[in-house]
Amino acid sequence: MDIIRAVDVYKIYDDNGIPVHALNGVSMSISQHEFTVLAGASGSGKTTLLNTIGALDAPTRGEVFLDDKSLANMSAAKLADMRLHKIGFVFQAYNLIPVLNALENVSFPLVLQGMPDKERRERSLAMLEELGIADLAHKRPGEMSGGQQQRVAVARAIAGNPSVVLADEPTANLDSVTGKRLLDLMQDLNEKRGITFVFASHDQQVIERARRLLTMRDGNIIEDISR
Amino acid sequence: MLLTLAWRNLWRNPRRTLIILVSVAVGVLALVLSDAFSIGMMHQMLDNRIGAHVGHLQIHADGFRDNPSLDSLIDEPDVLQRRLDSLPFVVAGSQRLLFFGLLSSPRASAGVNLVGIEAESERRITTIARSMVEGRYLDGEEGEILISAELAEKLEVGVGDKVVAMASKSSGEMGSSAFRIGGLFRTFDSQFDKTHVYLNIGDFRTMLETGPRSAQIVALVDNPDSVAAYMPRVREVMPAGVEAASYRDLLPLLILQMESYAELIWIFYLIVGLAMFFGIVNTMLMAVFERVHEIGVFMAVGMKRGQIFRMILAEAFTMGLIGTAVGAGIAWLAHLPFDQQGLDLAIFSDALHSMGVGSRIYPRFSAATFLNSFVMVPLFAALGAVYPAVKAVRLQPVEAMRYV
Repeated sequence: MDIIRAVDVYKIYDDNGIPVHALNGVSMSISQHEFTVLAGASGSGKTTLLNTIGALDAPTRGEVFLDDKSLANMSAAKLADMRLHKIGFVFQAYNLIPVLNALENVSFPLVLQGMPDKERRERSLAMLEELGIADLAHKRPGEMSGGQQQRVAVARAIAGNPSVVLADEPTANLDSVTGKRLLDLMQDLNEKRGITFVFASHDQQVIERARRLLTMRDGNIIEDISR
Repeated sequence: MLLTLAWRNLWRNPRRTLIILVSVAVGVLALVLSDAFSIGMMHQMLDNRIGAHVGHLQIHADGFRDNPSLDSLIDEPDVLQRRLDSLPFVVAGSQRLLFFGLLSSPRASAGVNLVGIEAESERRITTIARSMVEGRYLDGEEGEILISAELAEKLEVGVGDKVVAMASKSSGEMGSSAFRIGGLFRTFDSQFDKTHVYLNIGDFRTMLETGPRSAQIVALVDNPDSVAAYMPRVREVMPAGVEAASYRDLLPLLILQMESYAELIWIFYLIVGLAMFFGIVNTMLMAVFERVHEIGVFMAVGMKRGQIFRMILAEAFTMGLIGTAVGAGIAWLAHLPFDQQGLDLAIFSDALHSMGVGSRIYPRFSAATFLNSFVMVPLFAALGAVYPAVKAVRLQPVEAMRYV
């Protein structure tokens, strides 16, 4: 079953009056349990595609379906609901909330989902435990290394049981050893828990692990390889 | 957690938060203290007027208040006073005979209100007996009169000197008697002092040939704040041809002033609120612009615009609430030294004396003062955050996350 389906998606930005074609009629789909990488050079459109299928950005033309529901014409509140319940994000810059500790950061989407306190705390602690960072529960992002912060970000992304985790250059700010550990972890989550991952990356070690590789150039998918 | 987040966001930039907190606290401090002293001053004016002369309620024959004349006297004042005394809430009562007249000394004369009183029972009603600055209060001795120190100065007389009082009798003839000044008084109201003199009611009745009639019965009740509720009961026991009026009816301008003040104080709240409003707009705009990227992240993880809006308003509301608590707390502490001894405004004593206030002002806190502060100020603070919050929720998630 397709979790994500993009149909003839265009994204055209206005750069001081000059139209920039970030996506040029992309059609693709992502199925459950995939471990997919969108690869390509900078400016190829991979982050734009990730944002578009992640309901963060609306396409100029075309349609995106998430769990078979079209995102077109959805209100801002509905889109926020979709992001809250269906999608987990992992960003290059971790993007943890600086005034919250690791446990609170992981709990944050669960608060928004309205989960009761006790259950939320147990789930968040379990996530930190599973990712091997339970000892960081009460540390704030400023007190953690980049690798630790990115693990917390992964825990936050999967805490709400999303349909898919979208990771934009998750290893770009990490050294290779830390990056490898993070990828091991994500791969493990994919294999053992069946969590679907879609990466946008030009990091070779991410690309090497892809079971499906979508290569982009000039706003189009030029190659779709399954391994 | 949203409240936790709002609270922690406040302290991201402690200096900025402290500046706005101090501004709010100083505004509230000034507002609460000035409100407390203003209310205190007005209550002193009222208490002084009640204590010096008016009492809590008065009984007159119909028409006397509009047209004081010897034809409008109470015929059987003792009967009415007994009825009044039988009411459980009446704690003291006294009869008076009072008319406008002329008081003359060998050197000058002045138009005054001649007030014939029952010296002993009046002592329980008004503060005149306690306001003597020279000589002594009336002790029942015939032919004595009390005048104020200011009037004595004007008439160029002193204790022991003789003055002549004149007033019209009901026949139209002038009644006059000579009196010896028994003592000089000074109340908190210079206007009152210049126009009121006190003599024994018996002497005054003799001078005006009124017989045992009185112009007025004045009384005190156990709880002045309940006087409006007591009045129907007072009117029930009074016969036809007699009217009862509470101090609220007798001092309409002062009561109106106090009631108007309760409404006008909102203008001061508005001024403080507006000053704070713009401070909060500025502070929250800075806070929002500093956190554009983070707001994008909030949106990305599924936070709804309404929740972001409320979070920003909660930050401002919390700032307003803390500032109010600090300001009101300091105001409460600051008033304590003045609570018993009052604020000495002797340098303005002439002006205060003419307004019927003593030169010491005693602050008076009302629940409304605190309630108004704690409602209005945080509300204005939250309103000040509306524009920044609207700016925040209008951000698009992707654009916001690109913002560094």
